Amino acid sequence: MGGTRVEQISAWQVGVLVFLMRYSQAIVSLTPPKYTTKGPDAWIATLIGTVVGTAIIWLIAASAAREAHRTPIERWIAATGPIFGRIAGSSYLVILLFSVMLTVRQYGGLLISQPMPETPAEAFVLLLAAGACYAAWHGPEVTARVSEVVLPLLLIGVGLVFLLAAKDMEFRLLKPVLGWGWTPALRASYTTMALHFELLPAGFLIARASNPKRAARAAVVATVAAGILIVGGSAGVVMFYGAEEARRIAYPLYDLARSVSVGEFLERMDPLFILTWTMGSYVKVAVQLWAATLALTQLLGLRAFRPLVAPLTLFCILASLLLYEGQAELSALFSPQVLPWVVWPFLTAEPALLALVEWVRRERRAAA
Amino acid sequence: MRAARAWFLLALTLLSLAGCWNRREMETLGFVIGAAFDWVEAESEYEVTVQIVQAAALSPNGGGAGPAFTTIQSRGKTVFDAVRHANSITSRKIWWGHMQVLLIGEAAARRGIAEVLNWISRDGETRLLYWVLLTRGHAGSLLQPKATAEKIPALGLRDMIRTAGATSTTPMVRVSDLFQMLQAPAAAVVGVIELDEAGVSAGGTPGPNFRLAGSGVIVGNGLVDFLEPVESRGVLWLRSKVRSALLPVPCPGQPERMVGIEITRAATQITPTLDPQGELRLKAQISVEGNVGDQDCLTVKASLGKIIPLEERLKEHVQQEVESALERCRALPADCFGFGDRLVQEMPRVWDRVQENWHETFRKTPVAISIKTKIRATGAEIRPLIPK
Repeated sequence: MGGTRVEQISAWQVGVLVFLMRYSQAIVSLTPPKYTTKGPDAWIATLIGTVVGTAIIWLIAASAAREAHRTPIERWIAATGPIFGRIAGSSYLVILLFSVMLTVRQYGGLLISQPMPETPAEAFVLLLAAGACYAAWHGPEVTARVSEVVLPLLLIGVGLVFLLAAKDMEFRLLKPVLGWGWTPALRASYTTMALHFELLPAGFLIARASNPKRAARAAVVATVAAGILIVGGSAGVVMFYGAEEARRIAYPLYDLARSVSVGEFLERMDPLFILTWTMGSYVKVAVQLWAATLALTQLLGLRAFRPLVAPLTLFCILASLLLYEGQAELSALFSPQVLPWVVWPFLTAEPALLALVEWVRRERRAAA
Repeated sequence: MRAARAWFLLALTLLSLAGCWNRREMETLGFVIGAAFDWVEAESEYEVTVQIVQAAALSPNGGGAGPAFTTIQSRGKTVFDAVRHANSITSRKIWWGHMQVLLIGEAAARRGIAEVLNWISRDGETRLLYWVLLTRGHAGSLLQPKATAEKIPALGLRDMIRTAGATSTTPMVRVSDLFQMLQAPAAAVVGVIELDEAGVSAGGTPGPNFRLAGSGVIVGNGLVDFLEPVESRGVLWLRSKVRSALLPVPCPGQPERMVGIEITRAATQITPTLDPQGELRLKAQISVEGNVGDQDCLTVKASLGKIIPLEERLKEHVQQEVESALERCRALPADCFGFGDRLVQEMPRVWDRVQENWHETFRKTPVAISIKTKIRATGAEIRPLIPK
C-alpha cells in the first residue's frame, strides 16, 4: 500500500533512526535549562521528562509491534472503518507535518542567528528540505543506511566537544539539587516530555521493520539512550556555564563548541558541531517527511507515495517560513505553556485511543 | 525519471560548488585583535576603539617598515552602532573572530557593564575566549598607536594577562567567565590594566608599557571601585583562584630579612552555617602549599625546626592579605569572594531570605578564616650557600 514495493529495515536501523530523531535536534537547544524557573535542576527536569516520554514511546512501540507491518493510519482504518479511520488518522498527518516544519525552521534559525546571519533562512530550510526530500523519495531503507554512517559521526562530534569542555566543568554548579523542591523541575520537564512527539514516526518505522517486535524494543532502547545523553548534556552545560547563563543563551551546546579551548590551540569546534548536527537533522527530516507522505498516501487511498513527496516538501518549506517568522515565535512555541498542550493530544490521547479501540476489537473477536 | 533525478542531483551539487553565501576573502577582512569600549558622557555615546592587525607584519621577517596594526575609533548610540560606524572608516570588513582582549573604560563600566557586553553576547562572530580588563579612565587610549612600545599592543596585553597567574594580583577573566560572574550572587571581580610610563616592551624597547594593576569590583551592573593588587590577591585567595605567587615573609631569627615563598597550590573551602540563634555565619578554610624560592637571610634549612616557623609566617602573611581584602570589600559593600554563590548552593532557602540586600548582609556577617600552610620543598639545596 505504501509504494510500488514495501521497504524493510532492520530493528537496529529503527533504533538508530529513533535515536537520531530524538538526539540530533535536542543537542542544539537542550531546552529545559531555559525553562527551569529556579536553580540548576535542568538535568533533573530533563530526566523526569525523559522517563515519562520513554514510557509513552514504549506504549506506542508496543502497540505498533502487536499490529505487525501496519502503519498507525492502516491500523485506524482497520479498527474503525475507512471513514472514521481516515478522520482519526489524519491527526497523524497534522503532527508529522508540524514536526517537519519545526525541524527545518529550527535548523535555519540557528544558522542565521549565529554563524551565517546574512544568509536568508529560506536558503537553509530549502537545502535541508531538498536533501531530505530526495532521501524520503527513496524510502526508509536508504535513510536507514545513511543514518548508520551519521550516528558514529554525531556521537564523536558531540562527544569531542564535551570531552574538551570537561576540564572547565564544575560539579559544584549543579548545586543545590532540588533546592527549591520538585515544582520548578517538574514544570520544566513538560517541554522535554512533549518533545517526544518527534518520535511519532517510530510507529511507521516499526511497521516497515522486518521484525516489528525487535524493532519496537530497539525504538525504546534508542529513546532511553538518547535520553541519557540529553540528561548528561544538560548537566554538562550547567556545569560549564552555571544555571543562570545556561538558561540565558539560546544555543548552549553550540556556544560550548565555540568556547572550548585546550592549550589555546585546539579551539573553534563549532564547524564540527554544525556538520554533525546538519547530518542528524537531515536524517530526522527525511524520516519525518517519509512518514508524513506515507500517512497522506494512505489517507488518500493511493498506491504510491513517491509522487507526493515533493509537493509535501514544498508545502512544509512554505508553511515553516510563514508560521515561524523569527526566533520569538519559535521560543514562544517551545515554552512549557504552549508546546506540551499543542502536542499532548497527539502524543498521548491519539495513540492511547487507537490502542484501546484495537484492544476492544481483539476482545470482541476472542469472545466471538 | 532517471534524467530528472540526475539533473536534480546536479543542481544540488552546483549549489555547493558556488561557495558559501557568507563567504569572506582573507584580503577583504580586517582582523580585530583588541578592542576598547568607552562611554562618552558629554555626547551620551559609546566609543569603540579597535586594533586591527596587519597580517603581513606578523611574518617572520617583520613584514616591512609599515606599522603592524591600525587603530580605528568610532562612536555610536549603542556598542553595535559604534562598531558598524567603524566599518565606514576602513576599506576592510572588520572581523571579530580573532579578538584576544577587550578593554572596558571606567565610565562605561560604571554606567552598566551588561549593556557594554550585550552585543558581544548576541553576536556570532566573536568567540567567547578572549580576556576582559577594566581601565581606570579612558580605555581607548591604551590601544592608540603611540601608547606603548609593544609591536602589537593588543597581543602584548594578551601575553601579559596570560602571565598574571605568576603573581595572582590581577584576576584573569575571560568574557565567558564574566557573563557567569555577572549573573552570580557575588560581585564580579575583573582585572585592571594601566599604562606604566617607565616600562619596557616584550621586545626590550624602553617606553610606556602596560601594567596589571589590581582589579575592579562590579556590584550588580556597575563598577563600584578598584582594589589594589594585594587586596586583589586577598580576594583571589578566597575565590580559590591563586595560581602562583611569591610571598616575602620574615626570616625566622632575622625578621628584618625576608624569605621568598613560591606558592605552588592554593584552595579554599567556603562553608556557610547558621548559629544556634539562626544567624548566618561564614567560614573559609584556606589551604596553601609552597616552596622556599629564595632567602635574603642564610638561616633557613630543610629541617622541621626551620620550616615550621616559616609556615607560621606564611600563614600570617596570607591572613593579612585576606583580611585587608575583607575589610576593603565590606566597606564598599560587596561580596567580592563568592560567599553568596556558596550560600545559594548550600542553603538555598536561607539565600531566599537574604538575597534582597545580600551585599549589605555580607558586610555584617562574621567570617571565620582558618589557614593551613605547608612548605613542601626547598628547591635544589637543603641548606643555603654559606661562604667560609
